Formats: sequence, C-alpha cells, structure tokens
Amino acid sequence: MDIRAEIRNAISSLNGKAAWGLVRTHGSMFFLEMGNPISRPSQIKPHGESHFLVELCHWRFEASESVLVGSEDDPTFIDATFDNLKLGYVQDAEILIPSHDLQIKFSSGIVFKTFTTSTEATDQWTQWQLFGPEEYVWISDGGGHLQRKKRDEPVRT
Amino acid sequence: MSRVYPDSRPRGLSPVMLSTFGKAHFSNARSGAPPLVDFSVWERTELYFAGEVGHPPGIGSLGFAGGPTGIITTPAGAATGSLVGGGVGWASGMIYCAKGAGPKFRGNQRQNKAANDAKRDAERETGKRMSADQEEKFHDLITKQGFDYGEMVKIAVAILSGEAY
Repeated sequence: MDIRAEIRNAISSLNGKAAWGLVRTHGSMFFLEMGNPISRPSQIKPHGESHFLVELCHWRFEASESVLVGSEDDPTFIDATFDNLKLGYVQDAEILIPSHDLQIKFSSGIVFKTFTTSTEATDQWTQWQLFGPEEYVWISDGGGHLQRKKRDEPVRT
Repeated sequence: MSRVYPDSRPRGLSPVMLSTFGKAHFSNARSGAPPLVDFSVWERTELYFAGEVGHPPGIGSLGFAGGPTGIITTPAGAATGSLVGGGVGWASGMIYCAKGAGPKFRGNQRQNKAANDAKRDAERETGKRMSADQEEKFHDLITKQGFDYGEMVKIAVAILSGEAY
C-alpha cells in the first residue's frame, strides 16, 4: 500500500478516540495522546494507545471564534492552556497533501492544525511522529517525506 | 537606543542576539571554556554566527569552532560600531549564511532546534541512531525541564548508550 494511503488509514483510525495528555516537552514540542493509556515496557511514562509527538513544525489549536494557543506562544502560556484544554474525542483527523500537515477536529469544537512554513526544512527535521497502537510509527519529515518505521528501528539511516 | 550599523554590516544576515547587559554564556559546552564575550559595557550587541543558532559554538552542524564569526557592537552614544573577527572569519560567515542552512528559527522554534541538534550530536558521538522509542523517551525525560543544549546532549547520549531507561 502507498505510504500516503497507509498513513491516511492510520490517521482516520483515530476517529472516535479520546484525546488527552497534552504535554509540552521543550520549546513548542509536545505529546498528544489518544485512546486508552498503555504502559509499554520500553516507555518510562504511560502513553495513549496512539499518540503524536509534534516536533519541528508550527501548529495551533483553535476554536470557532478564536485561536487558543499556537507554537510561538510563550511556553508558560502553552503549558497553562494545555493544562486546561478539554479536547474531547477525535471527530475527524486528516493529513493534507503535499505538506503532510495535520488537521484534527475534536468533539469539543477545537481544531488542531500543523503547518509547514519552509521549503528549506530537511529530512533531519521531523515535523511529527504518530505512534500507532502496535509496533509502527509514522514519521513526517520536514523534507516532505513520510516514513513508517518499527518503534525500535532507527528513525534516520 | 539607536540602531547604528557600520557600513560593513553583512547583507542578508539576521542578528541572533540583541542588546544585553552582563556576560553572554557562549562557552563551549565540552571544553568548559569561559564566556567569550562580556557585554556589560555595551548598550547594544549583535552576534552573527556562521551557521544556525540555538546551540553553543563549536558543536554546530556547520562545524565552526571557537565562537561567533563576527560581532558588531554599538556602545552607548557611539556613532559607529566595530567589527571583531571570530574563530572562523567574517567572510566565511557571510558565505554560509547567504546560502541558507535551513529555515530561520525564533523563540520556541529555536528551542526545538536545540533539542533536535542535541539528538543528532549524541548520535554522532555514540555512532548510534535513535529509534522512535528512544526519541519518545528523550522527550519524556526533557518534558518541562528547561534543559540547555549540553544537558540535552548528555540525556540523548545516556539513552543511546542504554544508561537511561
């Protein structure tokens, strides 16, 4: 199966899952958990059965009337907003071509969007990773490539 | 505070650090060298690097060693600035930056890049590549810790070496 078709399937499989665990890690990078929390042997913290690690891309969460928080906001504001954001369930998740930007609508009415802003990003700069419920991870590189890797496989060759 | 630039200001370069009092902490994370520049007497200081910003000098992906390639300083009340050559030289800095080494990074994006560079530097140091599981672990360990670049390199090295689990 074509990698884009494959990741579309993986992303659409998120529909109906509870979204939780919004946690900023460093800068504007963060985890977004979906589905039931699972403790895997390789993990030091429980994560959702599926979860995003959003890294080197811009993003925002918006409601119908306003932008709630974005990737260039102050980290303390991002943390405070994440602590209070109730997303609900994933209603519609899609990946846009050719940028591989994400657009995820939640039952709360909140929409999460990522967006590429440069043509100069390279494969060394991961936009986001989607950790699936099983052994696979889908990786969107800044260079416009999509990869599917096993969790224990090197992300870059 | 006036914006005064000497005629030799390189075109196409963006300042990566603006006016500050006190010492700039650009010591090499590995050598433990002391800060390179004391800005305490300057009202406005701009530094230009030969590569991307967000990591200490000497560890950058472009491999420049020793510090900024050029420093323009404008002391309070001065009409012109002065140019101080760094370890690599001004001309090479212009060449590197003019060609573009990737998107420009500001604020959080600079922090993101520092973390990304820390992982890549740890991979070079250990000769191992991070798996997705290890990248996840890296982010779990740095969550909300506010680590600097050197600390993140150590964490990434520990993960790749199997010392952090």
